[in-house]
Amino acid sequence: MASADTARLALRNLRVGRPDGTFILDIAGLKAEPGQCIGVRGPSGAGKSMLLMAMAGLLEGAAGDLRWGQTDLLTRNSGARAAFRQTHVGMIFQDFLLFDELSALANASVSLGFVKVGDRAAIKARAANWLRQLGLQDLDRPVASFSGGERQRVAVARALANDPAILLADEPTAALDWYTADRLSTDLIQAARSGNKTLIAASHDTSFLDRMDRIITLDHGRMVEGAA
Amino acid sequence: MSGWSDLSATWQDALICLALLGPGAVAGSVVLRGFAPWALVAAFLRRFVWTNLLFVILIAASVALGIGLVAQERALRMGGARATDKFDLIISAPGSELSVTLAAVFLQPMQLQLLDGSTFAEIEASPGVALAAPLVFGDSFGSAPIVGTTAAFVDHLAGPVAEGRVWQKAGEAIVGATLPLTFGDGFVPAHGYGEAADQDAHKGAPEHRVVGRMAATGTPWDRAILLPIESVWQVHGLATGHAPDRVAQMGAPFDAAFMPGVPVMVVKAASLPATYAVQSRWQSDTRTMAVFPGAVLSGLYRVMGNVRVAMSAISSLAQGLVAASILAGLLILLRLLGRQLALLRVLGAPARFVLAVVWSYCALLLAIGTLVGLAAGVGLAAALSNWVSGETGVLIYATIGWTELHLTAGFLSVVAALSLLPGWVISRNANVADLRL
Ligand SMILES: Nc1ncnc2c1ncn2[C@@H]1O[C@H](COP(=O)(O)OP(=O)(O)OP(=O)(O)O)[C@@H](O)[C@H]1O
Ligand SMILES: [Mg+2]
Repeated sequence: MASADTARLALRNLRVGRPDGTFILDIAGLKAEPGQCIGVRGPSGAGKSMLLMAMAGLLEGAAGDLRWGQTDLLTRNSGARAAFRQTHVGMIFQDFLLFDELSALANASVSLGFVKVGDRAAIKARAANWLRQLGLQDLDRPVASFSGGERQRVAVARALANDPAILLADEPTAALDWYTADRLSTDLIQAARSGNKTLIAASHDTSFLDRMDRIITLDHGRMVEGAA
Repeated sequence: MSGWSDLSATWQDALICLALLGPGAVAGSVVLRGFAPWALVAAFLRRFVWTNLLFVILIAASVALGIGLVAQERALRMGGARATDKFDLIISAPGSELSVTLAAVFLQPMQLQLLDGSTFAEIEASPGVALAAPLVFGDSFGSAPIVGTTAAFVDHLAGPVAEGRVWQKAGEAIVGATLPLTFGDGFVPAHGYGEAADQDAHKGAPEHRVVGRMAATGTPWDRAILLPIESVWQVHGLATGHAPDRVAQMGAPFDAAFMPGVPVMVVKAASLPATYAVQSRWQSDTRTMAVFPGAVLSGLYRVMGNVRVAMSAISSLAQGLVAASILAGLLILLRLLGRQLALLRVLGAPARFVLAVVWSYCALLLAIGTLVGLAAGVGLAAALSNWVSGETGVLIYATIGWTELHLTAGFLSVVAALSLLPGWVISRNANVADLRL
């Protein structure tokens, strides 16, 4: 179960530096409540992807205070951060990153390979459940033959399979046509709200951003709008 | 230390095999503990199916050559040993021990000096001699060498005839087990062998008839024609070994005064000590040489032993190099999947899981290649054996032996260890930087 508390974000003085002393990211403060959907926008190179990576504990060079509930992520070592992601974070990327030869179900439950044996059945069931809920029928077909929208839905199901408290999405609709993008936005927001998950999504897609609870704007690594 | 030496050879070999597999198994279980990488490994196998197939073939070929050589070499030694089984001791005029062995055991055409009748008689009369059989060579029919000897030797070599009967008079012949001549077939011996045989040398000699077939021996003798030695001498216009009043006599006793020269005598003594006694008696005689064919062959193998070791070392090295270059190839392939592998880290997989996936894929591919190579090596050795048997008449079977299993087990451990390398490289590089959009 996603712990409601883990979905609560409190971020202060997050900094990711360049070798020349300037900052890729320099965020004074950001808060998010469980069930909230936050859109991140800004020009290309503003640091949107970096912010998401940092929030997932994927940037070695990040400094500052980044708390998800009780967990001060940046003080943890990389193994502990990976373990945190395994249980609490779901990530979605613009280009899906699926294993073409694996079926939809195997892709959505790819974490079966490394999670504790006791958790495997639940993950598999949840992955199958989400795939169906997202409108996919043929769960055993290799995803190589799936359309873009179908592939992105497999990626979403994969992000949701461990029932994470935190959903981080980096331009999840960018590779999709308008109609498919709209459906996916609905599904993603719906999944976050109904599961009391915090969704943070970087996007250029205004119709997607418009449906968020809140929008923050980044420029040159700083938050120029939307600070809480 | 008791224990180890009390175990049977099979147990020892089996335990060595396990010990050789051990490091690979340990590496595998440490790397894989708690993980189930096989779905991803299956995906990689499908993604790069043709390259994978090529790599399996390459590794299989290198393993097969190594295994085939080892198995074949051992089969050859065993076949040779079996061929010398019935030739405890050979006595001839002084000369090359190898030539005499090749002539008597393997029926190879050789230039040999002759023992005269009185020496023959003296050897025959030595204490402890149970069988003293003369062999004469030099004629042939088609591709079959003709050997003149006694019925007692035929019985010693192959036991009772498999079909027909033993000769009772000059002009009757017994054929080897695989010779394509049947009963009643007649033939005239040619002088010499093969291309150089003089077909007309014995023109006018009486035709010989096949009356019996020898039981199989698995030696070149299976392709020979055996005649009473009296017949051979007669064809050559020589005395027949018996006094004129006893011309119907076949085989021992011979009459020294009427005996033409004999190139080779096969001697069987009543016991092993007697064999050594006879050997030392006639080895020290200036007129003769007494040879243990088994010892001649093992001397030969001893010389070739170093070659064998060098050959095994070279083929192992080649196998290792093939494995290493395949792993380098796999490393390049897997870089194509860098982003997917990095994604596993994003999903919270420990670095060891990425290592486990890459290791399983590489090790599985190499292991499949190795096992296919083992099977192919056995097949290759069997084919080689067939060919050598066909060429020489020495029946050899290449079977899979512990040496090959040990080599294979050791090689599997080596590939398991080597596969850690790409696993380690990829898991270190499965960097989130690969995910930059
Ligand atoms: N390793 C690095 N060293 C130096 N600069 C980096 C490094 N990685 C990223 N950057 C820079 O950080 C900035 C933020 O990049 P980021 O990918 O977060 O942008 P973005 O807002 O996601 O842009 P886009 O909309 O194009 O995806 C960019 O200027 C990028 O060049
Ligand atoms: Mg980006």
